[in-house]
Amino acid sequence: MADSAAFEILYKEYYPRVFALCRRLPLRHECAEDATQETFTRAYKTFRQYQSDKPFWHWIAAIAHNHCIDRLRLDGRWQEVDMSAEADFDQLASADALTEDVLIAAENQSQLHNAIDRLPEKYRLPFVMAYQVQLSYDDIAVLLELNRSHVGVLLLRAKQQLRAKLTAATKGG
Amino acid sequence: MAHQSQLQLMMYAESALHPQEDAGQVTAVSSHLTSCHECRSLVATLQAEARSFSKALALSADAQSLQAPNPSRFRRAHPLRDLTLATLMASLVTGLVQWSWKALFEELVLSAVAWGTETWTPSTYALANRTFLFFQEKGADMLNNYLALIIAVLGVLALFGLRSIWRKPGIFPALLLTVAGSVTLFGMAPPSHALEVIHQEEAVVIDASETINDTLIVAAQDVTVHGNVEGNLFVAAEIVTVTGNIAGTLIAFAEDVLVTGNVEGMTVTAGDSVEFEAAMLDGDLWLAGDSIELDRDTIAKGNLVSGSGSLDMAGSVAKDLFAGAERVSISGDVGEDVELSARRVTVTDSAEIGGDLSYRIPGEEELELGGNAVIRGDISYQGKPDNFQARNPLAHHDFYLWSALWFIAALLVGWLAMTLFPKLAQLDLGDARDSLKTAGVGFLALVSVPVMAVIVAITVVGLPLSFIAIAIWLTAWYLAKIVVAHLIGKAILEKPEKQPGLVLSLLVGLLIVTIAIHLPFIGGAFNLVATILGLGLMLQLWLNRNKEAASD
Repeated sequence: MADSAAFEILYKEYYPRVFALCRRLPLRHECAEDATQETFTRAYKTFRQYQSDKPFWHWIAAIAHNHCIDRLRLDGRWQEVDMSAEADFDQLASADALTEDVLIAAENQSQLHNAIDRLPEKYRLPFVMAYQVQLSYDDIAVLLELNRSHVGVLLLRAKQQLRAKLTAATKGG
Repeated sequence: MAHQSQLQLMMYAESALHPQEDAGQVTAVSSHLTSCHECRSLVATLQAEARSFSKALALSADAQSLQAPNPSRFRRAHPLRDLTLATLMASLVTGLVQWSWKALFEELVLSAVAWGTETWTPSTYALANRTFLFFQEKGADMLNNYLALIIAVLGVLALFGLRSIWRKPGIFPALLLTVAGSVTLFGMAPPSHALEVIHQEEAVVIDASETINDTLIVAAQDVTVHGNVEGNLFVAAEIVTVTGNIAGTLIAFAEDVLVTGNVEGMTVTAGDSVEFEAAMLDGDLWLAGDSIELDRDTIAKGNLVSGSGSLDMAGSVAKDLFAGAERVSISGDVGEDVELSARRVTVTDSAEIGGDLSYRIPGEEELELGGNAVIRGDISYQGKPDNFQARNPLAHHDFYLWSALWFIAALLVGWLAMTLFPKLAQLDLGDARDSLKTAGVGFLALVSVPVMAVIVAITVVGLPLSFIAIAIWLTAWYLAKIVVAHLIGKAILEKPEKQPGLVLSLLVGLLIVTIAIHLPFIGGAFNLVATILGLGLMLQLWLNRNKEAASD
């Protein structure tokens, strides 16, 4: 069993981040609360397996991710990522990266968040893991049971869709 | 000049290319960038974009101030305290059930049923009445005593737990000990009774002129009760002598027990020597000892169940006699059947058995049957006494066949139930406190549903409801172990990074449960605990369904 006092400190510190992650993964408010609790419960049970040389945030985010996927599967809202269709690197459409002013404008208008929420789950998950949780490509690859290049492909796809959406929204606005 | 792909540039920009593993790509991109201003610019933009994404997804101040709910489940577990409190709660609940049974069922409902039978008796109603009147005659005492025994055991556990927790004297432990003691005796004594406790080294004598209006608990070297006890009598001593009248149950543990008085309730005694002389025993007798004797003037109006070195039964037992002993001698009357397992059995000329005599002894010649003994039913030799191998189900092929069938059926039913109702697969016992709560809820469901169904069934309208409730209860009872098996399987296979599959969890869990519930000695306890926990989990799931539905 985990050291309760130590874990309680971690729980208080990381609760907001895990909750935000569960919201993004995406579960509605009440479900996200439950999922956050469940994430910490699982983490508490397996705290001994946590290797302290790695960031706690990365470890618990992975647990949250797995739990949310389980929830989505149970609710019938999760479709397995078919990587075979994504692995053709040469077919990737090229697109310009977003300039900072577009992103800053999008941030202020919450357009970025909306655009992220509207990403297909197979793109949103690695995107959130990369830029919200700050996991490396390698860690995401382990989590999603993919290889690193596939993670790159998914991220690139995610960014391409975001760029298209944000650019259109900025122009339209 | 051919540009690098955007994927490579992005991974390069975000340091996702390994210097060793992707050395070729790193070199290619690096050398390309030195000569390509366009790609250099794109890499810089990609890096800025990544930073912007991270910044945008960082927690806002509002989100950071989000307060975590009370983290009670991560606090240091106090299993002993929780167990004790749960035991107390279980005792209280059982006591309430018993009180309800006595106050509602025995006093009110059955009186009303009896009255109703005399005035208006359509067939269904009459059938129900007869059923419940049968309960009144046969079942009320049995259930009452059964509940009392459970409460007594739980109470002792609670006292032990409290003593272990609070070794230092103080008002709070004393208060709780008092509550625990009261709860314990609440189940044993009729509701109106109070309690009297005597604990001393020397002899305790209740004179013939004395009447104890309460339940009496005595622990001393020698205990003699000549007077009347209006409640129950619990006594632990070296020598116990009861010559007076006990209105309730007598439970006595001693080296020598001698009863010459009247016991209106059940009699439970254990000792080296247990003797009844001209005793009048209204309830069942549960006896254990090296030597048990009932003299010719002793009358027992219930059943006699005994396990002893020797049993001499010269008195009268109105109902059945079940005995296991080295040597059994019957020279008195038994109203109904006699079942014996012994090395030697003697049925003397003066014996009279109203029902069947069935016996297990090493050889038929070990039965000494008096020529004038009266046996109104059949006499049947059942073979040798059960030895361990015969009793051990593991030695029979049928056991494995039925276990395998149960396993397969449980696997299929479990898979079907959890596929149709995925929430069943999400159940979790939580921490120690949650587990105890679940156990309490399960225990309550296990005990109270049948009782409530019986109470509801006294009305014509309630009868179908009662059947439905019992059907649901039996279904839940069956599913309970499967739910717990799935939990066990899930817990064993669970990893932080991956949840095990349903079938695999069920397979592993059911395998463990199937083995565990058939283990000698502890299998029954495991079965009970698994059933209680499973029932508790499912009942809580059902009770919380509205909340779950809202959150979805």
